Amino acid sequence: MEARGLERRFDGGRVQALRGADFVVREGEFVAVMGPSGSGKSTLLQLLGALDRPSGGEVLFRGEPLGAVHDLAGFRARTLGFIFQSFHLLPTLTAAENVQVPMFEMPWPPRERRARAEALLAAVGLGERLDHRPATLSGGERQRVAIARSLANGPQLLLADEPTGNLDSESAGKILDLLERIHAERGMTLVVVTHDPRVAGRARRTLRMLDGRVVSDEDQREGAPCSS
Amino acid sequence: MLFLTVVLKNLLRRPARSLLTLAGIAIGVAAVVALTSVAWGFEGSWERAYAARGTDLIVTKVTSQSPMPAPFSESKRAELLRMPHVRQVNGLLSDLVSIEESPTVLVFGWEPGGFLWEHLHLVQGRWPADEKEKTAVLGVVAADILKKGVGSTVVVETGEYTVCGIFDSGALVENGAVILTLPQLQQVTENEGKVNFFNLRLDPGTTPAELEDLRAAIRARFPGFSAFTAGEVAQNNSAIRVAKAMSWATSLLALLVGAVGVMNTVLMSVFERTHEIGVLLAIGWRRSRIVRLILYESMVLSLSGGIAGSALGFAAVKLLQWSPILRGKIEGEVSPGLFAVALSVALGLGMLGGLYPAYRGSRLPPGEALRYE
Amino acid sequence: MRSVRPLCAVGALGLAAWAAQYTADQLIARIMDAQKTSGFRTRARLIRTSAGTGAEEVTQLLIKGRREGEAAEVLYQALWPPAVRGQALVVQRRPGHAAGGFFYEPPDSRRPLTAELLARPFFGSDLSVEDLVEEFWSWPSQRVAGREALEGRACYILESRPPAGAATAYSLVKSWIAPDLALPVRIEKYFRDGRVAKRFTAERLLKQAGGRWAAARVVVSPAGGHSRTVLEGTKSERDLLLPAEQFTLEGLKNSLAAATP
Repeated sequence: MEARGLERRFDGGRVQALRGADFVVREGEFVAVMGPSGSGKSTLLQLLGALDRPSGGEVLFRGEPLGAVHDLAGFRARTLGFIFQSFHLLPTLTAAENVQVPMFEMPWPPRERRARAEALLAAVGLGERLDHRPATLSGGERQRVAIARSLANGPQLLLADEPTGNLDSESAGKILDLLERIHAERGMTLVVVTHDPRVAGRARRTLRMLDGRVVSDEDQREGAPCSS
Repeated sequence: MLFLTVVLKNLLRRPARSLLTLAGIAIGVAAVVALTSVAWGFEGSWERAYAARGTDLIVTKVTSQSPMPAPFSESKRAELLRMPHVRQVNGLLSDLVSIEESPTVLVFGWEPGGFLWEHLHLVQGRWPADEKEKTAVLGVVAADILKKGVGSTVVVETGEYTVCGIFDSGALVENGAVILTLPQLQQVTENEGKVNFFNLRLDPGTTPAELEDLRAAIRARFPGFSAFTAGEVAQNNSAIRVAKAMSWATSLLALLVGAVGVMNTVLMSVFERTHEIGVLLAIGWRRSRIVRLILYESMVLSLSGGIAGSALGFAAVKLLQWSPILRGKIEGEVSPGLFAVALSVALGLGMLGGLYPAYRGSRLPPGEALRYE
Repeated sequence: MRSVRPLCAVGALGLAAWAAQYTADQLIARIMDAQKTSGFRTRARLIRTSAGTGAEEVTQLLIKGRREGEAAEVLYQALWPPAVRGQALVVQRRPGHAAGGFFYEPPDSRRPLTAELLARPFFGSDLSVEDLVEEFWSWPSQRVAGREALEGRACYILESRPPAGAATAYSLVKSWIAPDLALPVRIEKYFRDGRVAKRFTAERLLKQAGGRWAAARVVVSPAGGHSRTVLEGTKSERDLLLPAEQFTLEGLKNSLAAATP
């Protein structure tokens, strides 16, 4: 996945969230995007997730510009998984039902949807909590449900926006363990936007953003120190 | 999990609001059902009565306002009998009369020995012996309303009549009526030599074209008169026309109010869930699925309201039928056809009320919806 | 300013109409003219309701009238219940004479309208026989006492007082007359001690064929409020030619005999 000269302006140009971001994310990488509030991290994530259109520049996925993708919803459904800071589960649905919500876009019968949801919840350690509603789950458990949901349709790219932002440090650690494990086991590309250095510490690579630009690109595996 | 589960659980998220909207629709649909049921039932009852009498054509004076046509001379009978295809002519006088303690009862005067009597089944007693006898027969419903049996006396205007029989007809309009012989009713209402309807039986095998010719000939020969087929008389009855117009007007109003109510509810729930719609779009839902979600929600709401409203409407008709003023006069029709109409009205409401919110919901840009808190 | 002027004009017209004074005689003449017909037949129900129990007593009535020149006759006949069936009050009016008539009771009793009979209730209702016989608008003392709007309708208040020595229970009758309807919409009758004896209220005012107005319901509320009576028309025909025989003792006897099994 590649970003070329990405720009995004809001309010008729008065607010400039991105001022020309360039970088490449290779398949299977675990990349952390760091930066202070207002540096443009979340905007960048929405552009990568095809939820928003850039004001300038383009995003390419496997060499193809997202602007040219005919069925963006289908692309999001099959290729991407989203994880949000505040989970965004549907409050009226149980854990198993929440995980099935994205599956309506796949040609699977109800029974298969249920089986997949159960398997995914078991994989994130919630096999015993299938029929609990979000309100009866802890923050960490909710984020696990959200992660299971993001994996529902077997995506190739996971986009996470501050996944530990609303969690205490113990839960946060467990969620990071889980994300790391998924990344390792399923070999999927993982882009995490965060300002938590512990999250960045788990990533192989950290992009630092300031005022809408990528200001540094560090690869931990090559021994570059991580400063915070 | 089924898609419908999501729809239902969304509606249950705000049970009070959903229930109130549902109640609004139910009341609207109930009004539609009750009025339509009565209008259809009334019309059906007259149609059944004429069909059972074996009446092919009804000749009467055209009136615009009064529920009963004005009496006219029965001397036209001979001329009608001479017209082509006319086999039998029965004159009858009908009037709405306040009898004893009941507000109004339909009273018929029928020719002794005429064909109108043939379709009635005597439940008790006997038929009037001749036109001189001061006797009356009562429909089963009329007997019940007036609390009369064979041998009791019923006072119609200035006349006092002994009830000689109780009959049953297939049609409520006749079951709720008192029947005297024509000369007796003419005398007591001071309408000697007058009737206000002729019932005509035609030759078997009269073609529709011949029937049309006959009607034209009757209109030409008797200016101010009209010849109706059984179905048309009911349609031309001013009371039925008013009932039907009212049922249409109410339906339209209910439809409008209901649609606005549904739209309000669904639109509010869409605005409340702006962020959630953003999430659904982010996890890959197509806009068409968002449209479906919102439309289904409004349709489930209005359909449940429609079912509840139909039940309520049919119950209201039953109650109306037993109210002292309307007892024996209306007969609500409770038919699958009417139920289908009620459900279509409800479904129409759901579509109408859900379309705009669905459009609004699906037009939300996902990024913006996600940023919306 | 341009829009104000027509408004003023309309207002002035309204005032002019309001200011068109009617004298007492003109008001009475309007009503009498509107009621004039060769003959009429009305079917009515007389319903008396007791305030305490709410019990209703229904009497079915046939009311017929005929006019010959300036003379007029009105017949009030009970059709039901059986206890009073056939009983009838016949009122005869001739110009320059006090109202006369008789009370018929089957099979052949004919009683003149004595003071005792006039004071009796009319078929058990809150109306007295006098209420149907006495024509207070022909009393010599009539005056317009003022104007009042009743339910948004401009009315003249007419005060009628009986001459000394008249055989009436009342000392004053006030009628609220709507000149545009040529109809009294309320009548109050007062006892000699000045108390209201009863109030008549016209309800369900309907425009008849020919532009004439009529009340389909008259509510009679006597002082004390223990009961009230509603006279409700169920059917009405006008401009009939009714034979004089129907208003005589013989006629009543014959019609009753013909109508009974």
